[in-house]
Amino acid sequence: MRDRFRSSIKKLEAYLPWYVNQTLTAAASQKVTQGLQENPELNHSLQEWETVQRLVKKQPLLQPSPAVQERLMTRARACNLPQRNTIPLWFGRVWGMTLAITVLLFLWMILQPGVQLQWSVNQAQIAAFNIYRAPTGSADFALLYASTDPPQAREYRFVDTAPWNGRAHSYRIVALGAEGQRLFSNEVMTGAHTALPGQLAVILTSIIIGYGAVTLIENWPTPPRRYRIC
Amino acid sequence: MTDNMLQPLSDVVLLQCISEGKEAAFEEFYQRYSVPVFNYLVRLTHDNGVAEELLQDVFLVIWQDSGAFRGHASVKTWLFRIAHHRAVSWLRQRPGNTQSDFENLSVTDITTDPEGQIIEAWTAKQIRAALDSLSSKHRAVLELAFFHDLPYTEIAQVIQCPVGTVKSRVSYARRCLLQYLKKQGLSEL
Repeated sequence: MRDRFRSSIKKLEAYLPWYVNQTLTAAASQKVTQGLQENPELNHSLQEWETVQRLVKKQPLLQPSPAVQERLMTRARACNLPQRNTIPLWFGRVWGMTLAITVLLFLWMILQPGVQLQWSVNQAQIAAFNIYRAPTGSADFALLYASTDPPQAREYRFVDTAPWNGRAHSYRIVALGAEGQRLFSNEVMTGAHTALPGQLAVILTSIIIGYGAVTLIENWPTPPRRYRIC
Repeated sequence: MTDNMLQPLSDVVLLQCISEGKEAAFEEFYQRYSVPVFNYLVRLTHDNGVAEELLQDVFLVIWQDSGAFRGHASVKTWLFRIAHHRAVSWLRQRPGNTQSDFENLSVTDITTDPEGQIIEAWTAKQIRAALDSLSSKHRAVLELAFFHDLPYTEIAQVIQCPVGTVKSRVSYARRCLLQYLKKQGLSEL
């Protein structure tokens, strides 16, 4: 109980400097006023703070010499005139985000980061391929892609560009004949993180490009000059 | 835009005008803040000449970079933050302890009684010595709190420290200041 009382007094005491300079919020100020009435020992601290304020305020107010302003204006004129950044802040951010999303979609489409499946066939007359996917260890295969009328070739390729979800998958490729009969099928297993490096690279590249665009817009047309003195 | 027209403009609008390269706005801004910033710099650096140089640097930053003000703090806080930053940089880089230039400053004396003048001058000197005995980081919070009347949250933004640090520094400064004055026999001030 006594500890709690002491801690509340200490809390009030910490507010005293700002009670003295009158910058506390109305609620905090009222709390301190009430505390001062209830705890007379705080009045001693208050008096000390008032003394400190008086001493600090008592210091003479010095004026810089008029030559300082003249020198300053000469230096300011010698620097490049500041140019106003006319592009609003929100525009830069929206532009950066739009660019990042566009780049992401573009790269995703072109580079196709994901799990790549490749297979070859010796048999002709394949009318379609069905590709199924299931989490590794599960027999619950779901149709992922169906290609009708594939080009007659020996080598085939398919990329599963679904975003990485941290799970390993098994893929089943089924070749169908002209009448829909199953000619052959093959199953392949992939690791949980096969798709991760490629997808991560594409996402990071898009973010970097978007961020670069925001920085460029925010500093347009002047380069960053923070704290640079000429 | 004339100076008379600029008089009632808010700090933010003035900064906007400065970012457009308007010299009149810059001069108005200088008139408004040069004295408080100069006093702050003098009390941290203890050197009038250095404070004048730093004052120019601070206002040149404003001239060049007023567009960087995003309104997260008040203009006054932002200005003092730049001034504090420059003063601290100078204090870190200075070659050694410099002689205080306070004695050379012209201070208008308002007392007419010669004996009163002497006592007043002696007391003022003791107070100055007491304040000068504080380290710059403790002096800074004391000046910002009691000379410039900033709330503790803004002081924290100026000196870029947590609020708790501001509170502990100001408490420590008070203790040191009062102890010093007590030793000089000025406890009744």
